[in-house]
Amino acid sequence: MTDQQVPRTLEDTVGAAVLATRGVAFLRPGLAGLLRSSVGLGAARGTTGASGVRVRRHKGSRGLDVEVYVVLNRGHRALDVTRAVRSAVLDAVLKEAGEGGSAQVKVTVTGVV
Amino acid sequence: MPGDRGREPEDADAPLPHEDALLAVRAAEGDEEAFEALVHRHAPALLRLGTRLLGSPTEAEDAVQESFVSAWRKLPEFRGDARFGTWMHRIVTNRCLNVLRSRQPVTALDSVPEPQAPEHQVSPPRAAEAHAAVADLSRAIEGLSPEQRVCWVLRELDGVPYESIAETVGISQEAVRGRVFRARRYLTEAMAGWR
Amino acid sequence: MAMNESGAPDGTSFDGPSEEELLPCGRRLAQVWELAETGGQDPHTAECPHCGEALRALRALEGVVARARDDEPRVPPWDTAALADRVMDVVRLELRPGRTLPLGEADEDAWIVEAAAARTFRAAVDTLPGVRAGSCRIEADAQEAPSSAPPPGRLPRGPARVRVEVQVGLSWNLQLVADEVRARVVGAADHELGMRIAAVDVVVTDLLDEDEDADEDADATEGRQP
Repeated sequence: MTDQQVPRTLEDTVGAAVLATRGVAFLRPGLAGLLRSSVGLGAARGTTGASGVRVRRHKGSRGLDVEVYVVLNRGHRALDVTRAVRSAVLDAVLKEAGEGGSAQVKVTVTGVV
Repeated sequence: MPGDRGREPEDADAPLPHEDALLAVRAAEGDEEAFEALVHRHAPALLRLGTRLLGSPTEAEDAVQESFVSAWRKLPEFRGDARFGTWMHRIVTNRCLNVLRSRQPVTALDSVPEPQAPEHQVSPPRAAEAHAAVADLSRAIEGLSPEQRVCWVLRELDGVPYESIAETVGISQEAVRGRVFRARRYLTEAMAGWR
Repeated sequence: MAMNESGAPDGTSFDGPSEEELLPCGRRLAQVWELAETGGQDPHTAECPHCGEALRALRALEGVVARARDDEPRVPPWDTAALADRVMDVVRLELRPGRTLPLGEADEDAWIVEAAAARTFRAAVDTLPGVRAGSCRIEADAQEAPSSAPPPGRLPRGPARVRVEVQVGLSWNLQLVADEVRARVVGAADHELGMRIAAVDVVVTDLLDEDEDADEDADATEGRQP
């Protein structure tokens, strides 16, 4: 799995883009946070809000697999927010990775506050 | 402690059973806000129970807190065959029983309280005398075994029927009666000086 | 206290068979006290000085117990809000979100956990006067064959089937309230979530007398089946 790791800075950039999306209250520690703490890489807490974001290299290509776990603010249609999150993530990946950047983005709403 | 006059005590003795049942179902399905509402509704009565059982508000707080956490974990199996309040009452009682048992070595077995006589025999102020008697009772209760103490407190301070105590503690009704009797026998002896 | 020696407290054998302790008059102490507790009458006890002494001891203890109860602070010394906060700090580390349900169209990759969707539906149902939602489960609709196997823990990407239990005020017509509940759930699924719904099953579990809610007493009024 380590060979599919991507720089933490990319996860942080994606996390920031998600957090800036209208209707997102905060990121939820999802799989990424759990994996990081169980693998012992530490830093699951104390870093930015990117614990609800997991970015991995797509096997055998330049593309990325992005998983996002978000808690939404009440009063926003969940599906619309997930769509906005997806395009924010794609923009961030393009900006970071340049022309060839592409990503599959899975967005999961884990709560509404 | 007393003197905190700002807050009204919440009356958790008579929560609406339908509301409780509803909140418990929601919480069992993962709605933590519903569970939080249940904590607020039931905490005051359970803290009172815990304090009576343990004789210490601080320890009662710990016991009730742990009981709620374990209730959250067990909620998916709670099928509403008992009321939520009854279920919590049972969890807190058993938690307190374990606290008392683990406390046992501290209380020496032979520390039977000497019968206390009122210190002032000549027209004592009644209120002070009553207060001293209550203090002696609290001391005497420490001499009961954990099992006697739990049964006696539920019966005498909480007014719980024998059959419910039996169910809560998981022993026969006869065993509950025996424990309450032995507790009374011990306490009447310890308080003999007050008659 | 005028009791014989055999049952005197020695502090070590109090779990022993002291229930057999006899008063000098031959009556069992446990029996005398039990009779007093149940309010029963015994002509012997009324006359007997030994029984009388034993009863006075019990009454004296009850008197102190009553005072102890009166002495308890009327305003509880605990900060219930702080306790609830501490409990919820732990609970939020151990949430039970349930399964993950699809949002949007079949080819999208958007999801929501069951607990969050259920809470949205319950809140929508609760806006009906005199109606409260209890259990709310969301399943894949069996009619719709999944186009591909869903990822583990996630429902297939098709329309979902909602089953919601409700407590309903007596003044409601049951058919009408079922329709209203269904409409609220479908509306919330569309406007608040963006979830496709195949069907909504409404189960009325309790009929509530709105005026006399506190009177509802028997656990047997629970209509839920295990």
